[in-house]
Amino acid sequence: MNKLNFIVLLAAFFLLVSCEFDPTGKNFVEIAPPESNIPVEITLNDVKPTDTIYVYQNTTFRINIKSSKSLHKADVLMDGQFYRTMSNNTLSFIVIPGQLSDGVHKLKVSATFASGTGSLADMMGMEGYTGELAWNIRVITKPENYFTLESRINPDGFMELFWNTPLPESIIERYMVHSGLTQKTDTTIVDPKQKYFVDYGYVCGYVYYGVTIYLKNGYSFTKQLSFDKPAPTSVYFESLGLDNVRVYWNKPVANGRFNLTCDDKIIASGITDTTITIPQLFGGSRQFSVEIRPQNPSYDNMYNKYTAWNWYSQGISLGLPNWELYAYNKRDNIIYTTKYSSLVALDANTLQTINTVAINGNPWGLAYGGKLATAPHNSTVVAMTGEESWIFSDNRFINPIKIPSLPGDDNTRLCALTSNDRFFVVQQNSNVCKIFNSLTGEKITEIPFTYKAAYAFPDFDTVSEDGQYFCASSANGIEVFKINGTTANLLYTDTRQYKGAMFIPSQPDKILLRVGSSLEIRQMPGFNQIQTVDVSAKGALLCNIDPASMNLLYCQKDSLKVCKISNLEKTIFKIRSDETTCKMYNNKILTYGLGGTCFDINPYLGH
Amino acid sequence: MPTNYGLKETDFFPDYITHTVSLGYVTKHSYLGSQFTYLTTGGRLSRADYSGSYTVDMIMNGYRVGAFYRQYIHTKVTPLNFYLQLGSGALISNLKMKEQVVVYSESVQDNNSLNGIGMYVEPSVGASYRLSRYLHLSLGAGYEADFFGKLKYSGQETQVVANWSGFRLYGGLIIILPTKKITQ
Repeated sequence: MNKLNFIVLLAAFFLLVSCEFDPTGKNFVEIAPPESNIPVEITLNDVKPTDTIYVYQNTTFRINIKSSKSLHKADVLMDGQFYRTMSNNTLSFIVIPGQLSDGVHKLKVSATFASGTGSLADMMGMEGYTGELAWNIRVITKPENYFTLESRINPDGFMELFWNTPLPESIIERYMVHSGLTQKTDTTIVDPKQKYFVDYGYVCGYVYYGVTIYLKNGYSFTKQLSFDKPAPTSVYFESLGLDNVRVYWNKPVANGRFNLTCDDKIIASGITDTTITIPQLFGGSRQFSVEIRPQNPSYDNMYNKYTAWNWYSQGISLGLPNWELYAYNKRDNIIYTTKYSSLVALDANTLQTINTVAINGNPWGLAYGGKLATAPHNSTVVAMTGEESWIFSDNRFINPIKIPSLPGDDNTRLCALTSNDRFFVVQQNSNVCKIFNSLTGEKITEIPFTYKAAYAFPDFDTVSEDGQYFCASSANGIEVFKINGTTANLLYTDTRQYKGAMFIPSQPDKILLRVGSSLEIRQMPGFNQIQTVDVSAKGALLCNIDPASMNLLYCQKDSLKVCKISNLEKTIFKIRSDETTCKMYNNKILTYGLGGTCFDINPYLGH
Repeated sequence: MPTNYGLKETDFFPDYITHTVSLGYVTKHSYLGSQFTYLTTGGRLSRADYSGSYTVDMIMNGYRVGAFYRQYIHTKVTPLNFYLQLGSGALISNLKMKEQVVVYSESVQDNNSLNGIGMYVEPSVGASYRLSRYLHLSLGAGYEADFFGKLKYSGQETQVVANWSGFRLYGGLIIILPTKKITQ
């Protein structure tokens, strides 16, 4: 076979092969295309998709899908992740809070429906309808953990509890507020929107609250809150000058009402301010007490009552015990006083202690009073104890001269040292003035007299600084003696009603008398009146004449008054006081007893 | 791929033209040689609607290679001769399956092919009419019987069997290619 024949044969072969059978025919089915949209209804527990579903306990979810077309498939997605699948139109499942983390989750139902046309696309699932709907699910494993309860003071000044919960108000039935310390009964709030409670019964201090949330399905949980806000514990004072003092206390955290008492005397009742200005009253320390209560008395109970208190005295306290004694040495400018069983020397300017000495008695000593006196011409000081008298040459308190069996007490009528080194003593219920040598302690003489003083205060028996004159007075009369050596001659006597008598320091020949309705200054030896003031209207109770300033301190009605001894009519200082037994040394008014309150009048003189 | 989807046969392996090329040696009373036959037929499953179409075309091709021997029976009517023929050989079958889905804008096509080899035996009878010295017209009929022929898919045997068995009607031309100078 030649080449041509072979080519012809090969061409024939490919020609044949190219005649491959080609199937024909088309089975076209006339079908109407589907509608563009169909109504689909997807429901989840009948909750609107715009609402949030709260899961705080095991919650059954019921998904129902309604459509005119058959459901092909529906997937339930939780936060975009496959969660459940629906093979038919309904699905129920339970969501357990612990299975999902706390917070907001998105639950989406994505459903596909067959078009129902029977087309190829329909059969292949490539044609149909899709519908999806999503809900927000907020998972709260323990709603009580998210239940916040706080407190604040509302704009009106009352304690207000307020709370918050992530749970919607629509599922809350009521709140109940329990406050056993401030409310008599529990309070029920039926409006779920009202998430606050004003406690009108709370002012300050410790309190505990319990707020319970009751849900409509019966579930309930409680949040407790307790706190302890400081209650006023003290009362404070601000002196507003000689006449007034401002009493104030810390404002409690919430509104309250206050009852202020002073030494059990009601000063103010039911006030709402925390400050009050009251008149000053010089004397001992006064105890101010403020009772803090709810502003509305109907909320009063045994728990919401608080008391703050403090002591106040006008002037400064010397920190002395009661019944302290005073004496003043002008030469050394020292105030002598007592502290329990000790004799104390104070700087009369600074009131700082210079020296002390214990005078222990058997058994009394100075423990229950006594008498003190200083000499006008030197540093000698004498202290009469319950058993004896001790004479010190100065404030070093060394080598005392003791006069045994010469006791002194609060009722001792006269205890005085004179510039002629004599020591004059008139004891209680005695009509004899004993005179001792203050250098040796030896008794020099006695002066008997008629008019015994009925009281220890003010001075009824007095001796001039130079020891030349001795005066004994009482409500029945007066006797003035001129002392010459060891003898005393009656210089003057009358039977007027005397209410006090004292020789004027530095002016030994002048005597101040409180007699009848007058104050009188009389001149020795003739007992001539050189100054008189009528005090019939207000009376007057002599206290003492300050040797340093030569000012007279006396009581008149509700005040202590000071005047120059040279001008009894002109009051140069006045202070409200209920004390009648004060002394004034170096222009410092000192209370007798009451802890030794001292008021320096110097700043007020000349104004 | 889906399995039904409303597919219907639109073409089912109809009888079709079989092409045969024989190359043989012609003697005065016989004709023997080799033979190559190309067989082809096919079927179609179809479904179409507004959304698209789904077509499964199955084209079956057979390549038959074998040998034959034809014994002429001369008649007194020259140039007409009758003959008896027996052929046998191997039959290579190939089933091409083309599956195509078009739905809206999506389309997917899948092609698979199954192959197999079998044996055939084909006795036939016919007549030959000599149109010229180098061209004969031949008509005949026979029956092809196939054996074996299971098809394999990716080397794995399947249950599909290629069976081309059936009657054959032949019509053809015999071209005589002289191998030596003929002297009359």
